[in-house]
Parts: sequence; C-alpha cells; structure tokens
Amino acid sequence: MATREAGKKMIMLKSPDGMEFEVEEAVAMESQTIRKMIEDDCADTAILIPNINSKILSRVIEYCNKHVPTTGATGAAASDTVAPAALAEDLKIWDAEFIKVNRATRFNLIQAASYLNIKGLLDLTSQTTIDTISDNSLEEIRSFLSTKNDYLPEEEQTIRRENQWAFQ
Amino acid sequence: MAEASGDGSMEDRISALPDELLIHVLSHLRSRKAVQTCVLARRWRYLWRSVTCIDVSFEEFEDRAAADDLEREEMFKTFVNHLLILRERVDLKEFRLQYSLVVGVGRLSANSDEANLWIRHALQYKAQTVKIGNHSEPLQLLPWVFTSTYLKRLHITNAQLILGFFDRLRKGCPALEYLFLSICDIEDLDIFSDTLKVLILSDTIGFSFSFEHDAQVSISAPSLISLSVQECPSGARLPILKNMLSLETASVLLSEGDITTCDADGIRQFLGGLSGVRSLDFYYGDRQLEVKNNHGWCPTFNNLTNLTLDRWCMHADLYAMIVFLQNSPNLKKLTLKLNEPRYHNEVVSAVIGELEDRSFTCEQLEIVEIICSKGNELLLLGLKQFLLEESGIRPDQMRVSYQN
Repeated sequence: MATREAGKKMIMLKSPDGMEFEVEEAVAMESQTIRKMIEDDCADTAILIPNINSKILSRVIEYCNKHVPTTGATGAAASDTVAPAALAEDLKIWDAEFIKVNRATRFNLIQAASYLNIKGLLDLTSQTTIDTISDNSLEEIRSFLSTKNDYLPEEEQTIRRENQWAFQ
Repeated sequence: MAEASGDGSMEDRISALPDELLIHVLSHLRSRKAVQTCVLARRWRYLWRSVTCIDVSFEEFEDRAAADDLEREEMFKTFVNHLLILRERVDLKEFRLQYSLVVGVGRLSANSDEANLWIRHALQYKAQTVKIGNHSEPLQLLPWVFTSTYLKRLHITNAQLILGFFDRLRKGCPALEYLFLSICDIEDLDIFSDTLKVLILSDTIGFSFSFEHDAQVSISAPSLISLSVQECPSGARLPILKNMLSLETASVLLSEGDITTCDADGIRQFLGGLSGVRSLDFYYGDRQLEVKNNHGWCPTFNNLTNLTLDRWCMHADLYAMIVFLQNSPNLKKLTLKLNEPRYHNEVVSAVIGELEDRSFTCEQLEIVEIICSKGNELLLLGLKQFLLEESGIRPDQMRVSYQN
C-alpha cells in the first residue's frame, strides 16, 4: 500500500514505445485503473500502460495534471470560498482548448480514457461523438465513425422491420 | 482515412473501442436515436439494448406523419413500451420522460397509466435519477410508483401529485436527496422529508385542497441544505417552514398569489423558518404591505453572511432593506438588484413602514454589490447617500455594475 508522506510520491508510467513519464501519485490516481493498481499491490517500479503510445499518454497526463484536485494548505473542504465556480469555468476553457485535436487523436484519447478509466476525460472526448450521433443522419454517422455497413441489403431491411417501432 | 496518421486506420481505431464505450456514447443519446443505430453495422445491432440511460421524448414524434395527435401519442406509447420490454435487464442510471398528453381526451388518471408504469419500470431497474417533464395536460402521478432504495434525484414538471405522494416518498425512497417540482398540483398539505438535501419548488404550485380546508401548507425537512421557492404555494396563509435545522441557503420569491391572509405576522412566521441560513435571496411578492411601525415581520438572522434583495426593499426610504440590515448582525456581503422591478397588476411590490432609528450594525460587512440598469440613477443616488454618508460604508466597499 502506497503511503502519502509530506513529500509528493512519484510514480513512473511507461508507454509501449519505451517512453517513461514521472508523475505525482495523485495525478496518476486520476485514473481509476492506475489507482486500483497502486492500491492493490506495490507500484514501486514503473507501471506499463499497454496500447497507449507516448504521444497520447503525454496528453492524458497533461489532462490529469490539470484536473487533479488541488487541496489547500489547510486540507479543509473549501465550502466558503467563491473559488470553485471560477476554477470550474477556468477548467472548461482549458478543456475546450485541450480537445481541439484531429479525429484520429480524439479516438485514441477516447480509447485511453476508457482503458485508464478517467471519467472526466472520457466524457470530454466522447462528447463530439455524442453530438454527431444525435444531430446527424445514420449515413453521416457511419461516415464519421468510419464504420463500414457490413449488413447485406436484405439483412438491413429485416432489422429495420424488426425495430420498426423505432423508425416509424 | 485521410486523417489517420501513425498506426492503424480510422476504422481500426473505432473497432478497437470496447463495447462498453460505445454503450457509454449511446447512453447519452435520446433513446429513439440510440435504437436506430442498430442498422449502422452488425456490431451495433444490439448495443442499444444495454444503455444505462433512457431518454424518451414526445418531441421526437411531433413531426411524424400521423393522422392526428392521438395517433402520434399511440406511436410514442408503442415506442416506449417496445423499448422497455426489449432492452436487456441492465440497471439504469437515469430515466427521462418528456411527455405530452393529448388535451381533452378521456380521464387524466387513465391517460397517465402508461407513464406511471414506465416510471415504475425505471425504478425497478435502480434508476438513481428520474426526470419527468410534460407539456399540455398534467400527468397524474400515483404515489405507489415511487418505491426505490436507489432513487436520489427526482424532477417533475407539470403533474398532479396525488394525496399521499410525500408520505410515499418518505417511506419508499430512503435515498432521495434532490427534489425539483415545477408547475405541480400537490394534493398533500404537508411536505416532509428526512432525507432531502435540496428542494426546489418552482412556478405556481397549486395545493388543490388548501382552499377547502382553509389550511396552511407546511414544509418540514430537517436534512435540507438548500431551499428554493419560486412563486409561493397558494393557500389561505403563507406556508410554514418547520425543522429547517440544516438549512444553509434559501432563495425565495414570495409571491402570494391567491393567499388571502398575509400580514406582518405571516411574513415573520415564514421568515422565522429561514432564520438559521447563511445565505438568503429574498424577493417579496406581488403586493404592497403597510406595516407602519411594526418591524417585527423580520426575525433576527444570526448566521446570515450573504443577503440578496431587490427593488421591493427600496421603497419608503429604503425601509425594508434597513430592517433586514438591523436584523443581520453578521452580514458580510449585501447584494442589491435595483434592475429587477416587480409589478403585479400594476401594484409595485413593497413592504412599507416608518423607521425612527435608521442605523444598523454589521461589523463584518465587507462589500455591498449593487446591480442596476439605466433609469436607476435616482434610486442609486439615494442608496449611495444612505450607505456612504449615513452608515459609514467606505467607497471601496461598494461595487456598482450595470445590467439590462
């Protein structure tokens, strides 16, 4: 079990392409997957993050760094201050900048957020996909998702008939 | 794909996403759209069945080709029934229903049958958040529907809540923390909950029986932290607030509507229930009350640090504002919204009285924020004169901003 001392405990994350990232434990623990690894056994050595290349991993760390809750010197719950609202606004602006990436990177980020189980990043990265699916025709969605329609025409007709209650 | 760089094509990237992730995306969609993705590709065929949020809206059927509204309503019912029966038996996080009952057909109770069953279904599948919205005729919601140890947040707009609703919520929904009721016809006179932390009563809430019994509505919620009442429940008298032991924030628009008896004592009793709050936004409703020199309508707010008032307290030489300040010894911030006049049938809302002693002591007062619009100049001048010259507020403690 990792203990939290006065000094900040650091964790080493490794991407499959051999890059190493030293991050604060609190930052790494924004990922529920890593949190579980740390809590379950000793994470003294580096943690290998499979399937996430260094370019994407560095972006993920950048996100976690920004979103890790900052506890004040007192450690008390900040209930009286006006800061939280301003902070949330600041984070929103930061998020909007962060997510200005091309489609391929965005899908990589979705995948990373899903594997590492970082809810905020997952919501942020999947929002465009959600928007696209809610606002566009099925044909447009297919093209956005680069999904090939692998139904035979008659098959697709059957499925439409089966679910006619949702298409009428 | 053109954009794909580095390893793998776009198509590979999508297919590498796990099903749970696609279900996560589908769970953010309106349910009709989510079901329609079944024709995208084989992989998508059954994904919709596992969504954890159901969002069904009559709006999606409003432009459907149908003979009339009744047929459209049938299409909607068919859709929701199929959806609920054909989905996998997975737990729900959220259930949203946006309905529109066809006006003037059959009895309200019979028309609301399906909606009650749908809500029941969602609660059986452990939905933590339930949002019921409705246009046109109100839905009639039956108390027995609301039994769930998982339900945390409940939003209801435009419904008739049958007698026994609050009793059922207390017994049947022990985890309920957040309740939002808007345009609801509440048959219970007593609103009580041991678990609620946030209660929002918005727009006109009619209490149908209150006229007959000449009775008083009461709200009792010992765990409540935040209360918002926009437009007051109608009744013979102002509602009484009881057991507000945990209340920290209150925002009240005290519009008396059909309340027949409203006097200084009534306001005192009502405000007395809020006297422990730290933050208060108080807007006095739609008539003028003359209290002469009976200032007892305002209780002492010993914990109050944040107070927001609007134009109603400015009349009669700032009378009501000064009474509030005299009764808020620990105030840190005062916000005055001069830009929001409230008229009702051309009556300016105000509490009007006569003060001999206009001084107040708020030793901790740090800032007075004044929000005004064009045309408030005269009022602002009088206010500044009082605060700066009579009360010893420093100019750097006062902030004036303009909003339209």
